[in-house]
Amino acid sequence: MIKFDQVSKRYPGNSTTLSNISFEIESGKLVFVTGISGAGKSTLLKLIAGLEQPSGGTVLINNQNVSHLNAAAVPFLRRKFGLVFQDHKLLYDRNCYENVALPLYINGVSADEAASRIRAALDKVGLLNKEKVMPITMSGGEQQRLAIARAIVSRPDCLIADEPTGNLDEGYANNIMDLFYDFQRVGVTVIIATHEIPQYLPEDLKAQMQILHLNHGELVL
Amino acid sequence: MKSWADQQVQTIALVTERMWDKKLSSLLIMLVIGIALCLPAAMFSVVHQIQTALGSTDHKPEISLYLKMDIDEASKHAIEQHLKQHGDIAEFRFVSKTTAWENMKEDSTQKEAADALSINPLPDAYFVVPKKVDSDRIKQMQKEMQSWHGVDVAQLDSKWLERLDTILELAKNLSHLLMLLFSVALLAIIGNTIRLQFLTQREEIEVSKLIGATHWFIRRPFLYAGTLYGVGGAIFAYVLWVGAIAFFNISITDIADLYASQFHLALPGIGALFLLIFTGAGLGWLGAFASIQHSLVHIE
Repeated sequence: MIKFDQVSKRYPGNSTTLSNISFEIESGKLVFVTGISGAGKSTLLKLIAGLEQPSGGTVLINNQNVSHLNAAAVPFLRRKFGLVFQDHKLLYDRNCYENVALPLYINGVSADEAASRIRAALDKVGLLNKEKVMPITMSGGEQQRLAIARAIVSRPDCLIADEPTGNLDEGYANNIMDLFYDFQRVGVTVIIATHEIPQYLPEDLKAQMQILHLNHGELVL
Repeated sequence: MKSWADQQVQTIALVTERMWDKKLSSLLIMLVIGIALCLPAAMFSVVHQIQTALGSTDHKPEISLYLKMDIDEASKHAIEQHLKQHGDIAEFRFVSKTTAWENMKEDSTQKEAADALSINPLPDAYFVVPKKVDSDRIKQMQKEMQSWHGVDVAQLDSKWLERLDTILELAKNLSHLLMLLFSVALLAIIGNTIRLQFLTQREEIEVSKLIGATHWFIRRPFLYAGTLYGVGGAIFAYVLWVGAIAFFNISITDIADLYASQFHLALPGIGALFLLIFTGAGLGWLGAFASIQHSLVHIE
């Protein structure tokens, strides 16, 4: 459960990016954070995942106030989430297997257990045959799938993606969205920032869907 | 616990693999560290050995007490009592003015001078050998004896030894100073190397932080790298040290032979190797830690 209460975020030397945001996301939801560029979508996601701290208000994650966590506790908050970035943030000097291994390595998962989990994650995104391939040689859609594999390998309760299909053509985009829908179906909370709600949306998910529309840093209901 | 150990093993494997990929630069860094460790350590050891060797020579310092020409028997007796009761004296002997005069006449090199004199110009004398070869203590004894009634001159006849000792002491202090300076240099070398590695891995570090890596996780490979550089440097230092001593021993044996001495410089033992490794590892860890701490603050 994620709860924002009167949350605002202001960057130094900038006008307010987010102001007085309040909402609640229950576990297992499929959430779309929509709005035009600069509306504050990425900032909202960063506040949820602990990549940024709010300037005001309260952020509750599973009833724990994470608004002003001390620096030592922040990494452990971040591990609760699987993050997919718009620019993938893959490591281009390592192959697919090693990229997916990184979160497990950080979590201290033993090498034996890690191997089976990495292969399962790669299999899930359809890249099992590309274990040894370097990401730089792969297409944009494949790189995004690899980023998703890295996000899900540590089995987070919540998956957060920032414009995951932004740079992809429709076929690839639907393929990526299907992956997210699948995770939502098995109980993972999925939060996706996107310009607009995707056309491609299975009927069975609509009941679970929640939309947070942002306009100039304010939540529009 | 097992996962903690797993992480250490994984990290060491990663670090050694990276070092292996850059064999030449890793070796060069270790060599520089080795030289910086070897110089002060070897210098200290050599100076210490020479000092010890001098302490055990037969050239023990001696204090000569020349008594006043007009000294009376009672004063002479008092001095003898003083010498007998003094705790710092190993041995002493008395040479009367008559014995000294006769010795002088018998000595062919001094016979002419002695013959030219009509009366005995020599005083009675005590020759005192102190227990310890400690120049401060001996000087103190000399002053004390000088003040005794009836003593004309208390003369310390080991000036050369004292001078050499002073020079060695100076060299020892210099080696301490070198140790300090080279330690600072070592920290700078390792710190800079680690900083450059940090910069080349900046992307990986940023991504790791985003997905929940702690500062300790990020530091760990760099701390191991710094420590390994230090250990490698220590092994280089040991080899250089052994090589240098072996080389100097060739010429030292020649000189020692001239003086019919068995003196040679000892090779550093296993204890010295462990001390070097411990020092190298410690400085490596410290240099890496300081460097990473600095870089981590900047990455936030």
